[in-house]
Amino acid sequence: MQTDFEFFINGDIHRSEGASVNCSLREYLMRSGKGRLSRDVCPVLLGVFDARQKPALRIVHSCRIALPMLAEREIWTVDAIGSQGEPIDSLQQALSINQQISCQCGNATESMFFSGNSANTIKSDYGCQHPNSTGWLSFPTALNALLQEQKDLDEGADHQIESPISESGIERSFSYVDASGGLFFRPASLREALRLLQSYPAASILAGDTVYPAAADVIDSQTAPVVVSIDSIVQLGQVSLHEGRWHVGGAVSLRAFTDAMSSRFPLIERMTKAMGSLPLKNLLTISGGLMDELSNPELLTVLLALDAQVIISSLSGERRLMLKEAFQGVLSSALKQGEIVSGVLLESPMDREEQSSGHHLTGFYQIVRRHSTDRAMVCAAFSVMVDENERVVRARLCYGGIGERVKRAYEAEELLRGGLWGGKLASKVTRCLNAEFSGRLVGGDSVYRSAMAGSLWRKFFAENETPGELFRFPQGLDNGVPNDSKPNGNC
Amino acid sequence: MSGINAEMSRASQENFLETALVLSPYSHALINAIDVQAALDLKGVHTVITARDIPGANSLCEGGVGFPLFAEECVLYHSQPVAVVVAENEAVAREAVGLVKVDYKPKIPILGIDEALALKSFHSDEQVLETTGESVPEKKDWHEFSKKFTIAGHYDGAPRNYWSMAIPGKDGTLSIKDSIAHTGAARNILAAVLGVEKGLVMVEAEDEAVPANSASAMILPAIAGLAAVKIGLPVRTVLDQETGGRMLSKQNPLQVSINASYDTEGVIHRLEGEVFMDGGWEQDCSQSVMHHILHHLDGAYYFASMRFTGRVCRTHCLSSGGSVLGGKAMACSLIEEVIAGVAMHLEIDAEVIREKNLYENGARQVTPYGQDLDTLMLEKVWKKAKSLASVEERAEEIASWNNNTLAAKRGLALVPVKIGNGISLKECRVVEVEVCLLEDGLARVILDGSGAGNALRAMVSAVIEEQLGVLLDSVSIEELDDNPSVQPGCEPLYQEALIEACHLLRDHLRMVSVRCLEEAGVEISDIMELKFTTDGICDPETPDSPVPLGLVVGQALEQGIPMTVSSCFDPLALSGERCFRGFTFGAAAAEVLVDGLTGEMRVLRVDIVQEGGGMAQEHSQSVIGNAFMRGTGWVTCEKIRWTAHGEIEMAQDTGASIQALEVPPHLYCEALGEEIGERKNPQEAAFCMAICVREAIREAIVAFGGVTPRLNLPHPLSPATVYFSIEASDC
Repeated sequence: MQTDFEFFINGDIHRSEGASVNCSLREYLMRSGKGRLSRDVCPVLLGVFDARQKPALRIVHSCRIALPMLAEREIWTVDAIGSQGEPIDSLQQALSINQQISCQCGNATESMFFSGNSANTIKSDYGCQHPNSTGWLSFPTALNALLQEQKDLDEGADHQIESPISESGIERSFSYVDASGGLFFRPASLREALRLLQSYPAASILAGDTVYPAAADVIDSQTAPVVVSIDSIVQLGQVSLHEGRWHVGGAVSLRAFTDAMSSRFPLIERMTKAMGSLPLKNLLTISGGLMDELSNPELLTVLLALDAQVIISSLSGERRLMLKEAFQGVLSSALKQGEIVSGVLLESPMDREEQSSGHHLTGFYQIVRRHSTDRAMVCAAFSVMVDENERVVRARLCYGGIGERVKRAYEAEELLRGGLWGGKLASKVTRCLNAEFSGRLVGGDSVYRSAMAGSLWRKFFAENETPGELFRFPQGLDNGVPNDSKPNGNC
Repeated sequence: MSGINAEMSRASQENFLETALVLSPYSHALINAIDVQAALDLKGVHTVITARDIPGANSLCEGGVGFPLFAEECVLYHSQPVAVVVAENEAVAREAVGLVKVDYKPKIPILGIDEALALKSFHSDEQVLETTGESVPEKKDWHEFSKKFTIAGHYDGAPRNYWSMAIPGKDGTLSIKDSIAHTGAARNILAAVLGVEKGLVMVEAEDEAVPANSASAMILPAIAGLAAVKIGLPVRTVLDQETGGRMLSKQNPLQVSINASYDTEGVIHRLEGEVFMDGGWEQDCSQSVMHHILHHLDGAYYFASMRFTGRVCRTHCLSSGGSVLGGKAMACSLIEEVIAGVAMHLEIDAEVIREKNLYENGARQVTPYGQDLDTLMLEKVWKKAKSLASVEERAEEIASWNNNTLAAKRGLALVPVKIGNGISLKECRVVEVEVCLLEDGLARVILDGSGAGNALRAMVSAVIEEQLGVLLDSVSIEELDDNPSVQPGCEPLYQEALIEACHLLRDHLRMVSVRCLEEAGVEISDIMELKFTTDGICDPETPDSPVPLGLVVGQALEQGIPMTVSSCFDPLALSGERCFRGFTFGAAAAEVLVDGLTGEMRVLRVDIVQEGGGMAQEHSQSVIGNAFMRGTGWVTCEKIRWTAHGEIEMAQDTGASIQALEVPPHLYCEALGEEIGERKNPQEAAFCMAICVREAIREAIVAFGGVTPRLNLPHPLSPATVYFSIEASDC
């Protein structure tokens, strides 16, 4: 077991030097003495292997990365690399669209640059830049430009700066003990991970940015934590098709998941377009997302609407649960000691024999406070199959953020089944949904969130009033539906 | 990995003791007794501190009166600290908190402005703003418009953890590092609480500290300091987001009554009203915020007669910490309620009403507090913004679009602002600076305030470099400990005094510089235009041949020319009835799209025109754009909610959105090219211009078919409030 590990920040080698298992990358950057991080956004580019096991750089928030996760990996960051009186780092320079007039700005955007370019050059379509920043290149764009520039300069030299991950790779197992006795394991196989859970019954599983079981809060723990990270298990990082069903590994990131599945599942495509935060999509994994429904209702809502099955692995084998069954309580309650959520199984509704004709109407909607960075306050996933006679043959209406947990609206689904698709039926369903979600809810804006059950359904119906002819909402309110047609509608 | 933060691990590594607070579960109660014995008996507990254990004053105000750190005999707000447990670790400290027995006798609290008004519970006398000069006689064809409304309280920053660490030194000193950037007052207050000399206390803010704007920001450092001094070991105090949200001051709500008299053209002649603020249990920043509200209530509009009173209510809520702009933005929002009301009554576009009431040169250029305005700039920015945004053409197009769209509506609004620069002169005192140039080219600056803070120091460095060509690492800045602390918002006054001191030094150096340059073979083109660059002093036409500053200073000293000058800014010495040193004008148009089914809003386009603020135009645009988006966050953020018991609700999804809103697809900022000097802060006006987003949302809601939103539109406008405004309107 290692007592020290190396990682790379902007090409420079760093050592853990006994850093706590609990230590986040953000904390490390601040402690390294150069930190001037922005308060609420701390983006870094993390070297990972994508779903095809190709090296890639992904934007993530450094506050949600445990430092040991970086062992032998490489990150690029614009934060915490410049100090007062020191020359501006080349990456920081590359970020500014107009370097001549950029300045380092305080207030809400410490260590970020502003340049004064006009609105025409504002790049707001990247989740990685501070939402308030104007006149910026996106982080990846800047880094790519910088790497290309350095590559040109280094042409012929041995240094391979374009490689985001060190040669040693991440497949091999890694274990680390910190100065306080805290243990961090990054097993290379599922079996190894399960054995670790057997050896350390109190261990927490780290999946993406989620730690589970939730009770094992490593911060409150009085004993040195034991953390088993499952993100480097190649077996869990794959998406594959077996006998008509898609198998998605627990370590697949939300981004890799949506990249692979969007073309096959319209509902996932809608979710992909509606979710704005790249850092969130890059770090959240299937396993972590399933275990933290409060923070990540979007993924779970969609999976529930898709009738997903959860695969739970233990040393004694594998068991499969329909997600709706697993969610009689929180999923963690379905998980036993020594078990890991190792993946999900999905079957496209359109592939089902009895539903091959007619229309498959899908909709995903979310309401967020900060569009590009926040997680959903309320979200809804709808999947409705209408046959050629416009009768509803199958309906899934799922909501996140309204009740205490992600929930299927069974009464409304029942009302829809067999009904003639149209305004009359939609109105009945609206009333049913409003009644179904009318109870006292926990949390802020409960009345509003409750009202959204019916409203989002109305929005879905407005889009799909005529099956096969999707009405597009005005840009910005379209939840991912491209806006290129009539600006009209009846809701 | 949520919950992991730098401070926690750092502290544990350095063996800090941990603390946990005993907080009052009541908003108002008498404390009969506090029994800490069971807590003290718990293994791992070092001490429990209550008000009686404070060696100095139980007060977080300068002077040692008011804002008690710990409740002693009476609890005055929910979650008021009653005691603190100091223990080996956080878990033990938390457990011990449960063992501290406090015998409360609950009393009926005063919660909200209405209850305070009913009980005549106020903090002090009312403030009055009244037009100077003759009264305006009422005319028969005038109309009356009255309205009573509330501006909800809000957070002015992102949720975050607050922490403070105190390390006692062997020589009796105490070092405190804090997540909040305090003014110089912090040292005075902490010394008074600890009962030690001010010189023994050092306070340092972390790099990313948020600025303090309330006495409540002193709670954590005071507790950490008390514990560290009592035990003699390093102590750390941390408040999570939720507890911090309950204990640290926010901007509390306002209740406003307005009565406007206007003619059939929409010209408002008389405006009267009352503003009440929920000041909470202590005055804190309330009086200052109220001062700024009253002095910005006129907005960019001239009212021949205006009378407003402002009063701070005493309740059992948190004290009001003031918002980022100390009430200016709230006043801008408030006056637009009047404009919207008059527009509705007369069925005239709000833009027309705004234009008719703008300040103008001549009889309509004097503010209610008697200060003359240069209205030419206001006229320029208004006209420019109007043409830039093509307001009239787009309004037609939007109306047509809205007629054909049921699910969503667009709204467009153009709003002018006038913002008094920085702190009001009525609130500030004389500031002094001294600048000394040394033979080796170094500069020394002495400020008369202590704890000047990073912003002020950065300003000093920038001015010295710009005026004298001395780089940052060659400037030493000293703060005079004996003088009062720097008031927040006073930086521009120091800047002005500093620039004047630099000009004096340049005058002193002028003739010596000429001689040095001539000796170096440089022909002087204009003796009054010598340039002070980082390479030295040069003639503007031969910038490549400078003479080093140190050389010139050395020669000047040899000749007995003083190289130390001082300058001051004395607001009382200003002539006339000046309340502000100047004003910044701006106008912005925003177009929004509102989803009738969810209340969600997107800003589609923004056109901003504002004075340039003396910066490079492009840089200025960026600063303006950023401040505008922060303002947009403010007008659309979540309001603070209180429970029926006076406790702030901290729902998990009640996050502040004030600092983060996506940049709209079209955001164009134009700074008018005039050289307007360095006194103006373009960010304040830009923040306030975001009121146009609110007004655009109002127009969009009205387009759904009702008139009600014109009269009653909540503030702030979250998706929920927009949704219910649409639902409640008579469409």
